[in-house]
Amino acid sequence: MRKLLLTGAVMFGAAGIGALWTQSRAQAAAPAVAAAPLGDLSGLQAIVADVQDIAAKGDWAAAEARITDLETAWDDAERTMRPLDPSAWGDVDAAADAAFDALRASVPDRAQVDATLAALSAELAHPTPGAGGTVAAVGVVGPDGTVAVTDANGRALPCEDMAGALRTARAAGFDLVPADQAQVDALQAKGLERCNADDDARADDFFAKALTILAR
Amino acid sequence: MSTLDMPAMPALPDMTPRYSASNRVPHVTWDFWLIKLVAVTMGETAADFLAVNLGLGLTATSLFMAAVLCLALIPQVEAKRYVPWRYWLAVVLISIVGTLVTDNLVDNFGVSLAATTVAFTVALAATFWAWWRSERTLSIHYVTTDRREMFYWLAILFTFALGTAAGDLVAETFGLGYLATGLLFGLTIAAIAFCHYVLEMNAILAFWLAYILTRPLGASFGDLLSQPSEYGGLGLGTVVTSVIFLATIAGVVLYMLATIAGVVLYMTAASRGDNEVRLDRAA
Repeated sequence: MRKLLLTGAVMFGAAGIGALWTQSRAQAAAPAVAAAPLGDLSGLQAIVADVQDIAAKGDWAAAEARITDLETAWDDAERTMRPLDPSAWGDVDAAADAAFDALRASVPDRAQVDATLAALSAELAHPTPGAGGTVAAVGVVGPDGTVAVTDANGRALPCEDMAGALRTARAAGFDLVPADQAQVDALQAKGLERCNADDDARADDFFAKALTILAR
Repeated sequence: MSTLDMPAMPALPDMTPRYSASNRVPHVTWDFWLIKLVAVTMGETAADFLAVNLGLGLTATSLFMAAVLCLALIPQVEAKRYVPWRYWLAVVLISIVGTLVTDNLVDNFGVSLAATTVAFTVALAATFWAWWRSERTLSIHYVTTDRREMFYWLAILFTFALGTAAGDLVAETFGLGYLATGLLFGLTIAAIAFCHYVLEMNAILAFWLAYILTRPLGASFGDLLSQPSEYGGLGLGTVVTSVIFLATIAGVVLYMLATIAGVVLYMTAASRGDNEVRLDRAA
C-alpha cells in the first residue's frame, strides 16, 4: 500500500510541477505577444525620439529629413512586418502618415507636430494587436479592446486562470498612472474574493476590466 | 512470616494482547458528523487559497493536493487502527481532492454539472458493488483490512466529488441563496435520519446518503457565514468564518479526547476496586 501511495504522490507532484511550468510559459508568452504583434520596433522608436528632439529646437528642415529616415525604414520593413499583424501595422502606418504630413506642411504647426509625433511614439510602444495571428490565450486584450470571459463554448473561463493571467500581466510591468494602479488593485481584490466564492462569472468580469486597464 | 490475609482483589481487565483487527475508521456519532461537516468546509477554503490567492491555478493545485493526499494516507493506512488526527487529516485532504476533481471536470473540461453528478453517482455505485463483491460487507464498523480501507477511501473520494457536483447543481438550478439551499440539504439529511431511525432504513445506505449530502450542506453554511451581504451572506468574511470553524473542530476534538480519557479513568478506577470513586464520563 505504501509503495502505491508513494508512487501516486510522486506522479501527481511531478504532473503538478509540469502543469505549473506550462501554465506560466503560456501566460508569459501571451502578454508579450499581445504587446509586440509587430516584433521589435525599438529602432523606429529611436528615430522618432530623435525627430522629437530636433522638432523641439524648431529646426523643421532637419526634423523632416530625420523623419524621412523613419519612412524609409518603415517602408523597408513593410514586407516582413505587415503580414505579422495587418491591423496593428495599419494603425502604426496611419500614425506615421499623420506625423509625415505634419512635418511636411509648408508651415509646420508646432502643436500638431508634437501631437502626431507623440501619438506615433505611443503607437510604436504599444501597438494594438489585431484579429488573426496567434491564438488568444487567457487574459489577452482582443482587437475590440476587451478581454474574453468565456471560452469557445460560451461558459465562463475558470477564474483561477484569469487571476493568474492578471498577475502575470501586472508582473510584466506596464507603466500605470497611480489612479489606474488603484483601480487595478481594487478590481483584482474584488475578483479574488468572488473567485474564492466560486462565482466565476463575476470574478472573470472584474479580472477582465483590470486587464483592459493594463493594456491601455 | 504468616501470609497476610489479602482482601480478594477484583480481577483486572484481561490485558493479554490477542490478535484482533481494529476498526480503522471512527464510529458514527454526533461528534463525527459535526467534525466532518466543519473539516470539509475548512478544506475547501484551503484549496481556494492555493488556487486563487497563491495563483497556482486549478490544474496545478489539484495535482499537488492529490500528491499530498497520497502522502497523508500513508500514516493513516499504516496505523491499522483509528488514530483521530491521521484519519481526519486524510478526510480534509480527500474532501479537497474530491471537490477539485469536480471543479476540473466542470471548468477545464467543460462537462456539465448534471453529467458530472450522474458520472460520480455511477462511480460510487460501482465502488460499492466492487466492495460488496470482494468483502461481502459494506459495514464501516468492520474496515479492518487494507483492501477494505482502500474501498472505503475510494468511496469517500467519490462522495465528495458527487456532493460537490450535486450541491453546485442544486444551487445553480434553483438559485435559492445560501440559507435556503443550506436548509434544503439540512432537511434532506433530516429526512434520511428519520427514515433510518423511525422507518428503519438500512443503516449503511443512510450513512452514505447522509455523508454525500453533508458536503453541500457544509459548503452552503460556510458561504452563508462568509459571503458579503450583497450576495446573500452574513458578511463575516472568510477569516472570521474559518476561525469559527477551527474553534468548533478544536472543541469537538477536545470533547472526544475528554470522553476517551474519562472512560479510561473509569475503567482503571473500577479495576482497582475503588468503589467510592466513580469517575463517570461527564454526562
